[in-house]
Amino acid sequence: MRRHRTAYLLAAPSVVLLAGVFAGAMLTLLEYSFHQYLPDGTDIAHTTATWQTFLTGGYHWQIVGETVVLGLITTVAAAVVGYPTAYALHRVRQSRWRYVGLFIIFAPLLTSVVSRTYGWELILGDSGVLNSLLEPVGLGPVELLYERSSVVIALVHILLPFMVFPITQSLGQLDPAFGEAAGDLGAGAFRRFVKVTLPLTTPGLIGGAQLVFALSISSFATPSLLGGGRVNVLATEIYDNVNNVDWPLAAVSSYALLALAVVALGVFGWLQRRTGRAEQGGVTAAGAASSGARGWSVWLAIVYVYVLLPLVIIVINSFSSVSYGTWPPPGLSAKWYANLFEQEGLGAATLLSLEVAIAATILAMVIGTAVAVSLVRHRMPGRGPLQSFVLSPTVVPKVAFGFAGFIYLHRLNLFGGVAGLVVTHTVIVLPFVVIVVTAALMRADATLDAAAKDLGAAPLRAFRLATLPQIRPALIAAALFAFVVSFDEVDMTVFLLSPDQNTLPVWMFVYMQKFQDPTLAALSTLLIVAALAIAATVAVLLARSGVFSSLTTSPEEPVAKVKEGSSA
Amino acid sequence: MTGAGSSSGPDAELRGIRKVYDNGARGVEQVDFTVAKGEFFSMLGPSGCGKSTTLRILAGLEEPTSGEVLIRGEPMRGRPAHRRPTNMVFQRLALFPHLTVADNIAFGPRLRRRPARQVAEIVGSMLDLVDLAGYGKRYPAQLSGGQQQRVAIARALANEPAVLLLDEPLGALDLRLRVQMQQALKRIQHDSGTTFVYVTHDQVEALTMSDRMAVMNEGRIEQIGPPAELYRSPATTFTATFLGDTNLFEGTYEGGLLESEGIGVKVTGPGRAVSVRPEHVAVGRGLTCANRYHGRLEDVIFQGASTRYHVRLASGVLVISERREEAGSTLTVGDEVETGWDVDAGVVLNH
Repeated sequence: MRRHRTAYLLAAPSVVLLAGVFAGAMLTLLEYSFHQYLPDGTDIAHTTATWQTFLTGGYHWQIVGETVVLGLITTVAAAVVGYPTAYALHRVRQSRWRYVGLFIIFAPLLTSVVSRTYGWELILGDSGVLNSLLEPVGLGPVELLYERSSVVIALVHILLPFMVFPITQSLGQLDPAFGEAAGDLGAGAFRRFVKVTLPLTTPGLIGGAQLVFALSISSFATPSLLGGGRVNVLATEIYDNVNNVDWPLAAVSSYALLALAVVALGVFGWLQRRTGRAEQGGVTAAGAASSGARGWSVWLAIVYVYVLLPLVIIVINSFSSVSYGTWPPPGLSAKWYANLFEQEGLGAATLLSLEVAIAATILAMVIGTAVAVSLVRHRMPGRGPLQSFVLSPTVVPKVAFGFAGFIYLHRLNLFGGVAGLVVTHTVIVLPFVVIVVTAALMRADATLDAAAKDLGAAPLRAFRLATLPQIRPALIAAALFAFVVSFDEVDMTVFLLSPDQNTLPVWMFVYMQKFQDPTLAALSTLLIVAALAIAATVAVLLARSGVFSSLTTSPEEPVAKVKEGSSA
Repeated sequence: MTGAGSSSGPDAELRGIRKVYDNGARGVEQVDFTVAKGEFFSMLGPSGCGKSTTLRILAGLEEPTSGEVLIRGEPMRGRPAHRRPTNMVFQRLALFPHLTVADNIAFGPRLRRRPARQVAEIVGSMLDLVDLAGYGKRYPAQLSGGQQQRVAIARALANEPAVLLLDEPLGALDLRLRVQMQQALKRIQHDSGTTFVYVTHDQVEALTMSDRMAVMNEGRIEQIGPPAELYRSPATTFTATFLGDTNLFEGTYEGGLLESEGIGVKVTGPGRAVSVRPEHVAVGRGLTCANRYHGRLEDVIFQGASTRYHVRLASGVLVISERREEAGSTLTVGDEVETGWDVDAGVVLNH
């Protein structure tokens, strides 16, 4: 045991946090699902009555069905949009334009879900952008808002990066020699794609589908705001049950949603194993050498418009002179910005969001990096289960964990404080930190650490001097990601705020439930500008550290080499 | 460079070292040896024989399951790498890519809190030692393979280690550069007076550079001694076949004769096998040596300074001969020839 002490010590903080907060909350929730509230308010414990009500009532199955349907439609739509987009990006010849494209696809991630949902409300509304275009040509008005279609359109927009990213990865790993070989053997462009490229990138496609399905069945803010009460899925059901003070039913719904997520994980995992060909040897193709046909550029342009449109509409609407979301705005004014600063509690909400996001980021970075080092650099017993445990919060829908945290923090008397918010947010962002840092550590050369120790550096110092410089870009990326996820978190946080507390996204969520005026557009515009400024700063920092040059330099291009002198 | 500790004893001593991994992979079964002050000691063996593990145990990067490591007479048990008077040149060099050559070399002295002036002096003398004066401000990526190699050596020597450990440091270089670096290493070792423990799977490297060497196989040491001794008098069949080429005849001994695969070989004494180096095997007609066999010349391979002959005996056994003289020049493939050697040329092996 003594040999593995360091490994366990490094993992301990994460394990304590996850066991104390995450597992504790989920177990409390499980216990709560075996309660029953009677109409007169009595609370009966140790009963399966609520489970029976849920499982035998046709209404609840309808909701489960709607959740699955929404998830499937969103996933298929995201695949139909995402695969050609990833493929087109892969075929962009100049690496600079490829990165610009990827940035555009990923940029919306930096803005709040509520902002993006609001943007779609402005586009799809009865007098919104879409109808103002369709009506003059006699095709409108169409009623999209407060229907499933609007929820799907917005969810595809929000989740598109999660589809594009894994596919881009597997396209990047695809050795162009395969395609060339197929061409050499007489396959035309289409057959080459169907017979070679598609099968070899199916794992990426399934990986993306898995992410999108999991995130769409557990999404709450978008169906709640764009569904207008007519799109009832498990996530919104949980929220309604809590508001109707039927906590046991909310607990059962939460576990139903969790079960759905686990089943989906199993199904996608099975698909992945069935289709996954032998791991492709780590040859990273330096972009496809094939010509970029014009059709792909047009496709990319359409996708860019789709991705950026809500953000652009928000910015324009923030200067509207009227309070309703009509298009085009009849006049311009800055009054919504003025109105913004008169909003009560907005300053406090921003401050709390910043506080929680910064604290959760720092906490997750410290304990997450430690556990990542333990997982990558040590071979102790229990490594596999530890990894599963640390990543387990990603499987649990945030609404379910939010409600679980709500009950659990009440029990611990931590509800309503900053500490409860910080630890729950840390649970949410920890897996992201661990995934990013683990990947970086696996690429980092452990021999450098050994060399530093050999030259006299104690373990902690060796890590700081030899390993840290290698994984610094990944740490910056992980911290930024953690910050953004925490700062924008709505689905979980709505459950965790006491009446006198507010975070910025929850404030926006509540505001959007009540009002339609462009105050939210003004706030979203400010947030978009701030996000772009931060992203630009980080990009510059990363560029200075040479990450991009190492990304863009293809393996064939030799790094500046000096001829071996005569002195050997 | 004289370090602390007794000046008479060995610089490094390994006693009963064993290393068992959790997953059951073989580490080291049993290793004992001592390395004298200023000696160039090599561990030679195929990959997986435990030589690198033994070196990492010496460095303190791994703890042995049992056994003891002594450096200059001092027991090292429980002492981690950063508190041992050893330094290592890694197989993959492990130069810090974010530090200049000078900063790489200064890494150890700075950790030991040497004053800045002394650090600068050390860096200067190390750069001189490895013939890289003027390269201090470059980054490792801006150097050639051979130069990076020498930086790695300079960095490890900057700490004035009692023992310098080298883990196949020339493995990544091409043949020409490797030969140059072998000479450079010998010179650096001589100039610095440091004890070297060198790990390699390349027998030429071990034979040409070492004062003494250990041949390792399956986690054990097969034989230790000066290169010439190991080559001329191998103690085991493994050493005989691993070091250079040999004709090995395994069989049963009876009355001065080893019966092996249908032929009888006259040997100097009882044993399980006999090893005959190709350079001791004659080929031609009318031979007079004690062991003589008829066969068909199957192949003639011209190698420049010498020529190799493959003779297939009637029993099916292949005998290889390597001759320097031109005598065989009249022989052509397919000829019926005689091949043979003196009794003394055969080294009898019992293990």
